Amino acid sequence: MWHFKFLNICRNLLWPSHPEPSKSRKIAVHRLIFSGFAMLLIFVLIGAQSIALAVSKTKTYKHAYTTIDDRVRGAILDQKGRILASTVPVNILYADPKHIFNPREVASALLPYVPKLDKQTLMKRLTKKGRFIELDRKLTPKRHSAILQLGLPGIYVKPATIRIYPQGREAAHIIGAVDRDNRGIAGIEKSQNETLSSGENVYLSIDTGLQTILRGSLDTQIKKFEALGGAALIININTGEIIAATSLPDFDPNHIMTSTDVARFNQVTKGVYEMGSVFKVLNTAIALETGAFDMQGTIDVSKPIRVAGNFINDYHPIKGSIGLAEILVRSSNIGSAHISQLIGPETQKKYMKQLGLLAASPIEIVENGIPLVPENWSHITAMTVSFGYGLSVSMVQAAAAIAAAGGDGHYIAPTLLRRNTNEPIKKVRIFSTETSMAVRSMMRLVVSNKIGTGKFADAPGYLVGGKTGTAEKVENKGFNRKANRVTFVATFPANDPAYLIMMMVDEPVGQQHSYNYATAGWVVAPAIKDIVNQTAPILGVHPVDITKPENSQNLLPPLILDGKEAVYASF
Amino acid sequence: MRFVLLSCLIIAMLGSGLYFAKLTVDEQYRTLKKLEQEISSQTEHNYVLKAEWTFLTRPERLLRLSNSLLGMNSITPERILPISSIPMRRSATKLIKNAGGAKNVAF
Repeated sequence: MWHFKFLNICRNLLWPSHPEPSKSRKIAVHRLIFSGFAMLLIFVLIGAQSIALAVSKTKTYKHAYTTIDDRVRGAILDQKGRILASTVPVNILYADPKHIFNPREVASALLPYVPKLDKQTLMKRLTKKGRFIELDRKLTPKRHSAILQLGLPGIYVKPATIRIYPQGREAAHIIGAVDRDNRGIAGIEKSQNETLSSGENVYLSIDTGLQTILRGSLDTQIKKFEALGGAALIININTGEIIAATSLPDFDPNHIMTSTDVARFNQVTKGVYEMGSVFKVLNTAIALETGAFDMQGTIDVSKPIRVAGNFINDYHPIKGSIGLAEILVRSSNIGSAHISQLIGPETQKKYMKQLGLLAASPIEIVENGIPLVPENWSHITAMTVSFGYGLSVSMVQAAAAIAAAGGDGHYIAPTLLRRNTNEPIKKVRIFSTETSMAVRSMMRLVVSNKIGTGKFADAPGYLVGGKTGTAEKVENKGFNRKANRVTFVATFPANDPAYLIMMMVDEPVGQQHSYNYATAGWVVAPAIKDIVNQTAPILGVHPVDITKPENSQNLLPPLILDGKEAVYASF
Repeated sequence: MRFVLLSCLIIAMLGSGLYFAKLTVDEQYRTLKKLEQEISSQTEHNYVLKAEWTFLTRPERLLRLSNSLLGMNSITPERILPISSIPMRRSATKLIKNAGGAKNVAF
């Protein structure tokens, strides 16, 4: 049998008996062949293994560290690139109750490191059903290392990300906030959620520096006049960019859950209000543009107008006839109402529509108020709208409309996003250059003339123009004469308006230092002066010498007010 | 037999070569991953540092500090002048002319 023969050969190779001399050569040949095959086998194995190793897939190395991948939520930045909202890595402390053998022991060991939980709640969580029970979302590095050193089974740490707002309360209403899953729930965070979720950054038109100044000034006035709150914004008249917007009371988006509904309400874009006398600017502009009234005409404003059982009165009664400039400077309701009748309700409505006051503004946040437009735009409506009653609009809408009248006559839709310098700005001409020149001249006189209602807004050198507005608040289907919402709208410099500031204070209370007055001229105008003084050097607005022809030619020749020549200059 | 042995040798050499190449690639891959990890970690640090920097340089804080520690105020309009109001230095040509020609002027 061949295998016995093979075994015999193998035995002989390993333990050779004393071979016969005649067989020793044969044995040597067998040994050589065996060694040859063995060597061949080894080489084949090595070769095969080498090939296997060379072509085999490389092990994948799993990340054992926190990662912020490419799809991390984009940041929200202000127009100068300062961070308003950003995402940072955090560690979430969680429990896997299945791995916990003695919850009581674990709870007592862990308790000092989870300050937000008491022992009972912690015990409850450690014995809960489930594999992921969150214990703390913002674990500090110090507590993280201490917990790791405890070496508790079933207590783990998971890397995650969290949204932070380093500027705190500044522009909180504009920025908004996110929920626990980093999805936008308010403001820009919500409206730009798609862009931000894809990892792209969003640049706002807001300038945090100016925002701080605006918020600080508004806050001071609210405290000074014991008001309920207020709102303010600054618009770049030439681009429509909102460079600062604040609504007080406000909230810290880092702790949005602890804020009240009142604090979360955005009075700049969401709240719609009757704006009061600031609308007289629009009435004046429409009158001039349509030719319904000109700079030379006069109107008798001595008698109140009786409308549907009510009277249209002036705050300070004026005797005799006055011109268009004096109607605006003295803020005459009677004069404005008369002019509105010359304009006519249809024409007035047409202009209000063109100025974007009859539909929600195109602002890029979800908190966008829809104007309350009268159903029937009658002659009475035209009268009340002329001095800012009967039509409720948001502050941002009113500011954009007045920017058109008090600027260079173009309407530019307001925006919260930084404009791309290459992108052309859509401008709609509503008022001619002559009309807007007359309007800004008159607005300047509201501030510079001694009979004007906004004298306290005069920041020397910057030719501030403006208009005051004091509107009674609506309460129980009527007006509350004691509760006012005072507004001031200002443009500067009047010869070539670059910026518009609008500020509203809700229910200010007259103080001793204001001789118990709580009108816009006393409450808001001083804040406007303060804001202009602080922001003009930052915005690159130079003090204007109005005596120079290149500056004075942008305003009307001096007008006659109260029998005297009215001057524009403030130095 | 010689052919077999030679083939084996070549296969063994190629195999070893491939094996070493793979080892090198593996090593490089590991370095790459390590670098990626480092970049990721640095990016994270960057996020945190940027947020911290923004928090510390927020205008509200700077305004408060500059008011309380430095007593700084806004620039008043009297201190802002147009560039034309600054007296300019006399031009070089005038200097040259006054000196009686280019040769006499020491630059």
